[in-house]
Amino acid sequence: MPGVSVARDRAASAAGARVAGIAFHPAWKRRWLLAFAICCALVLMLLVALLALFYEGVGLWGNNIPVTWALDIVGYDWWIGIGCGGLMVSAWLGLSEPGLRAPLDRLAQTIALMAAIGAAIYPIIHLGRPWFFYWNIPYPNRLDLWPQFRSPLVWDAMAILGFLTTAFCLWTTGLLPDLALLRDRADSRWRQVIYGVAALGWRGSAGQWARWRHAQLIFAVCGLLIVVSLQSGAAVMFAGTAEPGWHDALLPVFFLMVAIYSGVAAIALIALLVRAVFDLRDLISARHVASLGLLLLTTGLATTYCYMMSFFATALGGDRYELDVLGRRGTGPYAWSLWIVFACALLPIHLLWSGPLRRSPVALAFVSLLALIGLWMDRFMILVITLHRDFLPSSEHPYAVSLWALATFFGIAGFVGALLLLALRYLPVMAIGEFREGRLRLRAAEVPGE
Amino acid sequence: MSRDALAAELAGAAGAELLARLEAHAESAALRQLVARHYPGLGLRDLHGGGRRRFLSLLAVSLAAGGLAACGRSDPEQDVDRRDRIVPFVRQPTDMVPSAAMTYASGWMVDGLANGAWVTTRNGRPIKLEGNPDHPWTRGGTDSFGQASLYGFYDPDRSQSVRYLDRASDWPEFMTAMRGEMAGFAARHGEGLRLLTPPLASPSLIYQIERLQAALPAMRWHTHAPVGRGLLYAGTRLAFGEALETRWRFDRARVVVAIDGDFLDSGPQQTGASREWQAARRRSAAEGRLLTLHAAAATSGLTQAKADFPVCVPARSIAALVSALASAATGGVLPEDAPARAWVARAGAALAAARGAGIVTIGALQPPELQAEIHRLNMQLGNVGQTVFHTRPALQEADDAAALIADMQAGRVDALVMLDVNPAYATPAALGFADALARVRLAVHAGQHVDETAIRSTWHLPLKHPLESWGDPRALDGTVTILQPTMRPLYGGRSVAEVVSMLAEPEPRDGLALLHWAWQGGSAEKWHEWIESGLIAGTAFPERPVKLAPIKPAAAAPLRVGTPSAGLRLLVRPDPTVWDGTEANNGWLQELPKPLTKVTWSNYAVIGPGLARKHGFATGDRARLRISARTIDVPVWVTPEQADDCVTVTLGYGRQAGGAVAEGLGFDAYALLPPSYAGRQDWETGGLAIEREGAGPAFALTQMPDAFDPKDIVRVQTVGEPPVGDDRAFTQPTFYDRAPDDGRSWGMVIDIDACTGCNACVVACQAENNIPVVGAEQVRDGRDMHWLRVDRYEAPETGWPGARFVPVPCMHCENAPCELGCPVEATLHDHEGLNLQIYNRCIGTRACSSYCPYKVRHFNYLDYTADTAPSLQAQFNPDVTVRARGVMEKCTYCVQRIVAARIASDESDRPIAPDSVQTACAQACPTQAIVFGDMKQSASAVAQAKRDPRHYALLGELNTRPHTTYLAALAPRGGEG
Repeated sequence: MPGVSVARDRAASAAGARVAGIAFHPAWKRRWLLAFAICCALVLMLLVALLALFYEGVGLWGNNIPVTWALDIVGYDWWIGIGCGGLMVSAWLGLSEPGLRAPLDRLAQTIALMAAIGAAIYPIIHLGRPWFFYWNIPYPNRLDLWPQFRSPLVWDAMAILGFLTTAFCLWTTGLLPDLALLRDRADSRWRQVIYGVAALGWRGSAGQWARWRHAQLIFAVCGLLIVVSLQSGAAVMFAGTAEPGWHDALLPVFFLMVAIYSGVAAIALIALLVRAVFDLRDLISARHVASLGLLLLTTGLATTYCYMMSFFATALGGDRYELDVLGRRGTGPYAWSLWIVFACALLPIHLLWSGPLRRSPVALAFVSLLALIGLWMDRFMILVITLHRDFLPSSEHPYAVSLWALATFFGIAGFVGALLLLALRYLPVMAIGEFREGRLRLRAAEVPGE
Repeated sequence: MSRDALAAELAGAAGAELLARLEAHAESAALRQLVARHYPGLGLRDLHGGGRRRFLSLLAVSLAAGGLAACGRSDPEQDVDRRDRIVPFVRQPTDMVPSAAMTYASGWMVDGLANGAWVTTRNGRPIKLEGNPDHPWTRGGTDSFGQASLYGFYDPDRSQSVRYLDRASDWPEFMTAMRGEMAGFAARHGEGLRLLTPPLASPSLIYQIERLQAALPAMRWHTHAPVGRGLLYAGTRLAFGEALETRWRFDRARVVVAIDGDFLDSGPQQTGASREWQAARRRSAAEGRLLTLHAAAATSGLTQAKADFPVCVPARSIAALVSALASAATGGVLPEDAPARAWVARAGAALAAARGAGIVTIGALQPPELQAEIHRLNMQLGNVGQTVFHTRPALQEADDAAALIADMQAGRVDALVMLDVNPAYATPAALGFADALARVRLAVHAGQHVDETAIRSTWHLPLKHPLESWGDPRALDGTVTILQPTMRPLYGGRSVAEVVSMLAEPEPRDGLALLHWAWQGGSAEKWHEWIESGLIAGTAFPERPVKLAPIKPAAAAPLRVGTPSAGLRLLVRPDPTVWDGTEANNGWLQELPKPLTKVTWSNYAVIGPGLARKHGFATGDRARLRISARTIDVPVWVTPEQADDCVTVTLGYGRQAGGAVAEGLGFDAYALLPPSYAGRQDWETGGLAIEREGAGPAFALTQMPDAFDPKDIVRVQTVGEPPVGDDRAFTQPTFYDRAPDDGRSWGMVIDIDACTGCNACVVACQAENNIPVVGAEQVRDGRDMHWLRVDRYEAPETGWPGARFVPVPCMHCENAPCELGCPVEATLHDHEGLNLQIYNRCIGTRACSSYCPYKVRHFNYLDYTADTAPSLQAQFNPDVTVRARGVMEKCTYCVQRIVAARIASDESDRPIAPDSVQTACAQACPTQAIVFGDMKQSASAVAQAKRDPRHYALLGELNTRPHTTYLAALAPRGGEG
C-alpha cells in the first residue's frame, strides 16, 4: 500500500520538522514563559519551605503521634504512583504499534522521570534527620553497619534509586536519535554544539539503531519489573504492619493498579494539554485521544475492582479493627477523603463509556484531572484514617494539614512542572525517531509485495 | 586574722587588687593555712623563696578563676545551708566519688504536710526523688507533686533576690531595715504587727513562732491555706469538740462509703491513703471478697471514678443523701424521696452488715456540719476506734485570714509579714486582700516566686525550696520528717524558719541551728539517725479516743450549705495537677494530663449533660460564669459524671504573676468565690448563672474525649468468677523465635485495679528520663512526649462512666512491629527481652511509630530540649541521653538502671537479685500497681504477677508477645455490697 506509506512518510517527516520547530521557534513562547514563571515561583516557595523545614524540623508539618506519616508519604506515594504509571504505560506502548506509540511514548517517559524526581524528594526531607538519609542505603562503612533488611523502607529506597536509574536511562537513550535530529536541524552554532554534545555522537547508523533498540528494550523490561516491585514494596510498607486497613495481602495489587491509573491519568492530562498548547492535533490524533480514553476507563475500572475487593475482603474477614477502619473510611472525621475518591476517581470514569465523550479532549482532560485528585485522596485516606486511630482508642489524635506541608507539596508540584516545561520546550516532545521507525518498518513490510 | 576572714577579704577582689591583697598577707599564717588547705600539693617554701612573686601571681589567677573563697564553708554567714553537716544515705562513701549517685533522705511538701523522700543526687545535684520506704506514712510511694518537686526546685522563674519596692535589694539591707522595725514593735509589744503563714506542721517552726508570740504578745498570727484541712478540723470540732485528724484502717474494713470522697485524689493524704486502701483491697480480693467502694458525689474525682458502686447526685441533695444513708445504715426507714435511693439502700445495707468494719468518708471540702454527720454515723456504726480513728491534727492553725483582711481594711495592721503564702492571689477576690494590702505600711512577703503578693509588698524575700532547706514538718500521720538540704541553695534564699529567726532574734540563726535548738536533747547519734533516715521514728500520732459532743442547737439547724435550693451552684476544687496554684509554674505538672479528662495546661468548668443541653454547650465551648456581679470566662467540659445542678471549677490558674509558665493560663476561680468567709471557705456556693459565649479554642488533650470506650482493652475480673486472664498472647504460632536467651527477661505487670490514676508514675518517668515539656500548642498538635501515659477508659459495668486507668509504657514486644519497620535498625531487641532505641542511629523515618500498635513512641518533631533553662538542665539524669530533634524515643524500661545493675552484677559475679531493679514508674507508684523485674526468676514479683489468673496482654491477638502485661480490674460479685 504505497499510498499509506507515502502519507506516513510525509507525516513523519513533517513531524520531525514540527518537533524541531517547537524546540527552536515556539509560537507560544509567552504562554510557556508564564507557565514557567508560575512554576519557578512555586519552586521558590519550595525553597523557603525547605529552608524552614531544615531549620525547625518536621514539626512544621502537621504530623504528630499517631499520624506520623501524612502529606509527606501521601505526596511520595502519589508522585511515585504517577511515575510508575508513566513507565508502565511507556512499556505498554512499546508493545503497541509504532503509530500509536510515537506521539505518547516520550511524554510518558518524561512524566515518569519527572514525577519520580518529585517523589524522591520526600523520603529525604520527611526524615527527622535528613542529613543521614544515606543510612537507608547499604553502603560499605567502617562501622560495619548495614540497613535493617527486613524493613520495607530499605527496599523502597533501593527501588526508588532503581526506578530513577531505569527511567533516566530509558529516557536519555530514547532521546539520542531525536537530539541528533535537532542537532542536524539546528539553525545556530550554539544549538548545534549543545544538541550535538547531548546526542553523544549519534549518527543513525544501522549498528547504532540496532544497539539502541536493544538498550531500549532492556530498559523497558527493567522498568516494567521495577514498577511492579516498587509499587509492591510501597504497599508492603503498609501491608507489613499490623495496622488495621493496611495489613492486607491484596494491597500490592491495589497499589499497582492505583499507580497505573494515576500514571494514565497524568499522561492523558498532559498529552491533551500539550496537544492543545503546542497545536499538535495532527500528531496526537483523535485516535490517540480515544485510545487514552479507553486506557483510562480500563485502569479506572480495575482500580474500582480493587476497591470493591478490599471492601469485600474486609467485610468478609470480620476483624473488628479492620471493620472499624472501614467504618471510619465511610463515616469518620476523614471520610470526606474516601468520598472524594469515589466522586473524583471512581465515578467520573464511567462517562468514558460514551464514545463521543471518550473522544472529546476536554472531557478526557477533565476526567483525568479528577482522577489525579481522587487518587491523591486515596493515599491520604489510606494513611490518615488508619493512623489517626488504630487499635487503642486512647491512641487517637486528629491530624490537621499545616500550611507548610501544603507549601511543600505545591512547591514540589511546581518543581516537577518546571522540569516538564523545560523538557517540553527544549527537548523533542515526541520521538521523531519512532515516526521514522514507523516509516522504515512499513517500507520493509512493503518489499515482498513489490 | 583568721583563715576565713582572709578568704572573705580575698573573695571581693580581682586582678591587681587581689594581687596587692595577697602581697599584704604573704607572711601571715592565715594565707599559709588557706593555701595549705586548698592547694595541699603546693610547696609553702615558694611563698618565701625567690619565686614568691610568681607564686602569688599564680595564686591570684587561680583564686580569680576558681573562687577560693567560695570553697570556704566554715563561715556561718556564708554557709547558710550547713551542707557540711548533712549525712549521705544509702551509700556512705569514705570519699566522695564523682558522678556516683548519693541518696539523701528528705521530703516533699503537699499543702503544708510532709511526705518522706529519698533524693538521689549526682555531683551534688538532686536529679530524682523517690518515696522513702522507711517512712511510715509514705512507705516508698510518691505522688505527682513529689516527683515534680524537682522541677519546682530548679524552676528558673524562682525568686532569686530580695526585692524592696519591686527593685533588687539584698539580705543585709533587709535585716538592717527589719532590726529597726522590730525594735519599734518590741517597744509596742507587737501591736500592729501581723504574721501570716500557712497552717504549720513543723514543730520547730511552731515553737519559734510561739516564742516570737511570747516576746510580742500583741502580735497576731494568722494562717491561711487555699485548701488546707480547716473544714475537716471544723467538722471534728462539731462532732467531737476538738480539731482532729480522721484516719482510716482500710485493712480492717469490709466496705468503704465515700460521700464526695477524695481520699484517692491529689492531696497530702493521697500517697499514704491510696496505698493502704489498695493493699487492703488486694488482700480482700485474695480472700474471695472485695473491699468495695461506694461513692456518691455531684462531681467526679479519682475516688468517685474508682468506685465499684458510684452514683452521681445533685449537689443540693448531698445533705439529704447523708441523712438517708445514716437512716438506712442504722436500721431506720429510708425515705421514698431519698436521692439515689437504690444506691443508698445498697450502701446502707453494706454498712449495716459490716458494723465496726465499715468506713464512711466525706470530702475535705464538704461543710463541717455534714462532716460531723458522717462522724456521728461512723460512731453509731461502731466504726470509730476500729476502722476509723482520730489523732491530733497534723497542721496547726491560728487566726484566720478573713479577720486579718478586716483589720487591714480597718487600718489596724501596721506591718504584715507573709511567709510562704500568696494571699493576693489565693483568697477570694471579693475579700479585697490586694486593696487591703495597700493600706498596710510595711508588707513583707517571703515566697519562692515573685508572685501576685510579692509585687504588692514592700519587701519580697526569696524562700528556699524544701530540697535546699532544713526542716521538720510532720506527715499526715504525725511523723516528723526531717528535711535536709540536698544541694547548696540555688538562688540564695532563706527558709521560713530562717526568716522568722531574722525577725525574732538579733543574731539570726540558720536552719540547722534552729532545728538543734528546737530539738534540744537529741544526742549526736540520734541526730545522725534522724537525718540518715529522714524522720524521727515514733513521732506518729497515737490514736486519740473520742466521744461525741452534744449537738449544739446552731449545728442542729438546717445545714446552711445543704439547704436545697433550685439554683445552679458553683463547686470549687483544688486542681488535680497544679493544686491551689502553688504548683502553677511547674512545667511538669502543667503538662501532666488531668486524670479524668486528659486536659493539659488549663483548667475548665465541668458541667453535666442536662445543663449542656439546656444551654447548647459542647466540650470546648466558652462560657461566662456569674455570681452577683463577679464574672469569669471559662472553657467548658461536658461529662455525664457531673450533676446538672452544679458547675465545678478548679483553682490554680489565671495567675497574673509568679513565673513564665504559670502566667496567662486558664482562669482564676478565686475571682468568683463569695466574700462570705466566716472563718472558713465555702467551696460550694449558690446563685450561679451560666451563659454560652461561643466556641473556644481546642483543649490541649492527650486522649480524645470520645476515646474512653474500653471495648475489650480493659478486662474486668468479678471476684469469685472464672479467671478472665489468659495466655493466648503467648501461645500463637510465630515465624520468629525471639525469646530472650541471655538468662534474663525483663517484664512488667500493671494491675489495672490498683491504678488510681494519680499520675505519679508519669512525672517519675519524666524526671528519670529527661523528658521535655513541649507546651500546650504541641500537646494540642498531638506531640506530647510522656513515655508513660495513663489511659482512661470508662467502667460501664458500674453503671456510671467511672474510670479504669491503664498506664501504657512501651510493651517491649518480643515480636516487635517497630523493629520490622525501622530501616536503619535504630530500634532492636537485646538478649534480655528489651526493645532498645538507639538515638544516634535514628534518622527519623517514624516508621516504628506507624508500625506500633500501641502508639507508645514519641518523636522529637521540633528541638524540644534546646531551650531548656540552664537550671533545669542541672536536673537531667546524666545516665540518659537528652534527645535531639528528629529522633524517636520511647520507654526503655529505665534501661540505665538495668545496665547499672548488670554492671554491678558482672563486677561482683553475683546474679541480679530479684526485684532489685525497679523502673522509675514502678518505684513511684503509691499503690504498687506496677511491678517490674526479671521474668525468668520465678521468685520475682513480676514472675508471680504473670501467673496471676487476672493476667492478660493488651492486643495479645496481634501476636506481638508484649513483655508489659496487665492484671484485670476487679469487680464485686453481683449482689455483693
